[in-house]
Amino acid sequence: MKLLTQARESADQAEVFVRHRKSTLVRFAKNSLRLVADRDTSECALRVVQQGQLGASFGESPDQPELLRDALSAASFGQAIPFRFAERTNRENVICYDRHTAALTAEALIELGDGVRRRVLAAEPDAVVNLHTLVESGMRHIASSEGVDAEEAFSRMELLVELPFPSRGTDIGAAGRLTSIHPVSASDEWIESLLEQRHWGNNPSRPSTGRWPVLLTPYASNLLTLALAAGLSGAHVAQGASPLADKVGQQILSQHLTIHENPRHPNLAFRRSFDDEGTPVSSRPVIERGVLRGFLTDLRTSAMLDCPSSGSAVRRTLFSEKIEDAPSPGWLGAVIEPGDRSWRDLLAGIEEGLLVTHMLGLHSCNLLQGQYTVQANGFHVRNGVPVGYLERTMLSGNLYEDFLSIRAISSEREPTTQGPLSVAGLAPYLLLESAQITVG
Amino acid sequence: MKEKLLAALKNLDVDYADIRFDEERKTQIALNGPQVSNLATFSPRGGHVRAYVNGAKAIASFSRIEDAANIARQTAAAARAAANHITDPIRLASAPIVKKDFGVTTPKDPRAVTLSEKHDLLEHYNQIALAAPDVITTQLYYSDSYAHRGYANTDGSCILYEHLISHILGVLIGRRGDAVRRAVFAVGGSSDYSRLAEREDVLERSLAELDELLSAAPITGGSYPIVLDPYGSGVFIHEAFGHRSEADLTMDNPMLREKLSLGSQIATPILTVYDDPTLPGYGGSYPVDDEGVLARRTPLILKGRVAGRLHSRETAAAFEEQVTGNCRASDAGFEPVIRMSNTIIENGTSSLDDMIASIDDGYYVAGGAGGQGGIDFTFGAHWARRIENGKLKEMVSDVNLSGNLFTTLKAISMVGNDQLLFEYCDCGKSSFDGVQMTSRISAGAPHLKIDHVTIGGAAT
Repeated sequence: MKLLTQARESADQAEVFVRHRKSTLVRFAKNSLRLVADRDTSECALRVVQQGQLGASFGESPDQPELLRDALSAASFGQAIPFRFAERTNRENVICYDRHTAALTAEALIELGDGVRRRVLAAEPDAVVNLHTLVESGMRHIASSEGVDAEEAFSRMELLVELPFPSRGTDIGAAGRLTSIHPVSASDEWIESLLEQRHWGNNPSRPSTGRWPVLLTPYASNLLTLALAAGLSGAHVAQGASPLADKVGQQILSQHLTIHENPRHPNLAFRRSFDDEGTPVSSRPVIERGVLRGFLTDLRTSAMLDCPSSGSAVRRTLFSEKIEDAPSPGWLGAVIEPGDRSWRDLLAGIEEGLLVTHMLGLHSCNLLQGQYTVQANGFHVRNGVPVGYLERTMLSGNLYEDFLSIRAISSEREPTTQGPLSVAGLAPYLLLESAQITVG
Repeated sequence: MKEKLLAALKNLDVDYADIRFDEERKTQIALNGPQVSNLATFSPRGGHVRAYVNGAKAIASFSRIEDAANIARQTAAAARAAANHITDPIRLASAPIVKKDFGVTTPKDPRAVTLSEKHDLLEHYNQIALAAPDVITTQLYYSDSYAHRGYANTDGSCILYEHLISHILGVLIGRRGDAVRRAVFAVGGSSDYSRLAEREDVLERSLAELDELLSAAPITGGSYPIVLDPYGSGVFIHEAFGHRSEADLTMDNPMLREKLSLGSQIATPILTVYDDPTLPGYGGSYPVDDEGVLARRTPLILKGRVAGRLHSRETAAAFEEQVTGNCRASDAGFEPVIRMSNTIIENGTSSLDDMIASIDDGYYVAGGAGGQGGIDFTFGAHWARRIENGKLKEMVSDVNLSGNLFTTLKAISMVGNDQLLFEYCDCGKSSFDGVQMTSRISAGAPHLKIDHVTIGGAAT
């Protein structure tokens, strides 16, 4: 890469990250095609170290002459950094790309969306269907003066369908998401499960304030993975801010819980073989039968903790994924081990409790300490059956207390998406023994 | 730039199209504890095009202005193809043609300040914070952003305009025993760099809050009367009502459209709220939006009744109302979506002392740590203080509130006479390609008393 060659001549170390993304999204709103959106963008990040100090610059192409000038200018301030950019290591490629996905056109996405719309309306003529179909593909390439030269193509397809509850306009409703590296399609069974959810939401129903069992859907498992990410972050561990800093080898969660950081897992929709600093990723246990086995680190925090990087560097924040987001430790593939009972069995066993499908307000909680207070969306459950949608229901507690007592985990898992307040991975349904519910 | 944009719109065979291109210059400095974790100056560029044919809409984002004409042609073709599938055509409200340029002037332009000076200022605040008792680490960010935008549409509008904003945002993390708590330090949020310097008093206030929070017990959940401080009131009106005044979030919801119809009594008669991008010098101030519509003040609630809502040209047509100039993109390459600008609650007549004195068992809730708004909304506060028999008592932590749009606005029983407008704010809104985060918003409000709000809490 020409930019890397030039940077090596002027700086002690250099790292170039280039990402090209092409996407097409088709959106239907209120049963009608609303939007066809295309994106074709390139991004480039340059990091240099000059006399031990770090500088960075960003643009849309490595050919921009100001990138190197700006990065070198930025590197003239600050303290010496404690790490070197990633070195060349053996890396086994994984398949992150499907040419059939990448080849899907807007017409094909319209056809898929229209088909889902028609099938839902055939079953429920009064339903309102909001959906989007998305296909994206691209290439990420990272090269460093220390020898890394990693490149991989990626693709992903997503179908998101929302069926608003009849009495709530479009505010909340049944929702389902299919996502994969490969083309996805909606089975009859999947559409039936969406319609079943919609029926559960015919009326509001509120539990009383108190402690109740809570069944989290795979999408709602971000309550666990996001809060845990704050404690597992090598930055927080190194700074003494994490409550997990001295807990390696100790039981911190239920013995039913095993979580691997495994961005290479074949069922992930965001599969990858290296992180955003070029460090190869692998499968390793972070939580093993509830026992803490390790942390999430990038190059900086691994140097602070005097250990190798776990390959968990991401250019992302809670809400955004921009090239200018500095690499920091985070999940690239949080894979929660499944249990041995179906989620419908778990639901049937709840005498009174909640089925939580998603939450509002997670980002304003003290997640670093495991504290959460969120508005729960989903269903009130009585005698194993959802009896209405939740409203004005808050779910509160502490991750490191409430997730010590997990009653059961489902055998089914679903891919979770990387995005605002969500973590890429694979998650089952999680049944908490109880959590505090406050109802307004 | 204008010539290239106008050329890209020529001979497109569409009902309407517009195109925007951004050339930005940004500086970011991030300190994580004693270390510099990011220090960058950079110049992102990107563009966005929209095309409408027979009620069908296609859009595209791209990186290079050299590609603009080609992308515009492809987008027009995509709109023509989509038109075959349309059952509910999109219409656009008319908007005056604008052929004018808007520059930015400011007392102290951050672009004229050296990177060294910016770094030293942030480092100065960081040293103060790290020296405070029980502070174990910090995350301090300096950011400035200058955007030079060009816009053209097939109606004939052609505009060059600029945005400039700078701010410092700090998260201060303290630990005392097993308790780990955070406080926030934020200054700036305007084009004027001088608002960032000599703000040690703000930092010291945040450090004092953190010190008290480290000994505070978690709040007890339940339903309570509360007094919101002006910052909390601003976040409250933003989350509880502001997002529902964005017409794209209500357009497809018949129930909300009915309940939020103009003239509906949605709130207590003592509440008046408006959106005003024309206020000079705040984060949400701007002269023209990103679909070429001039900014204007829009009343949202007048004496408790719905008085207006925020529009794009699409939603204004759907509601058969006037455009308001609130359709904005946070960054290069994003589709513009409807955003609040400066959301203001007008002063009432109550004093803070009277509000506190009126509560036997409740909380004084301060600051806003973010939230999410739907018909039900939630937001987090920085801290709260118990009110017992009309007196302020001890501080409590982990404060998250929840409510319902239609009941909570009617539960406001007192509006203070002490309105404050805020410096730094930020807000994210979903669009087709992710959340658009922006700090180009602000809010202003006095203290509010709300008679009953649900507060979550592990203890009850």
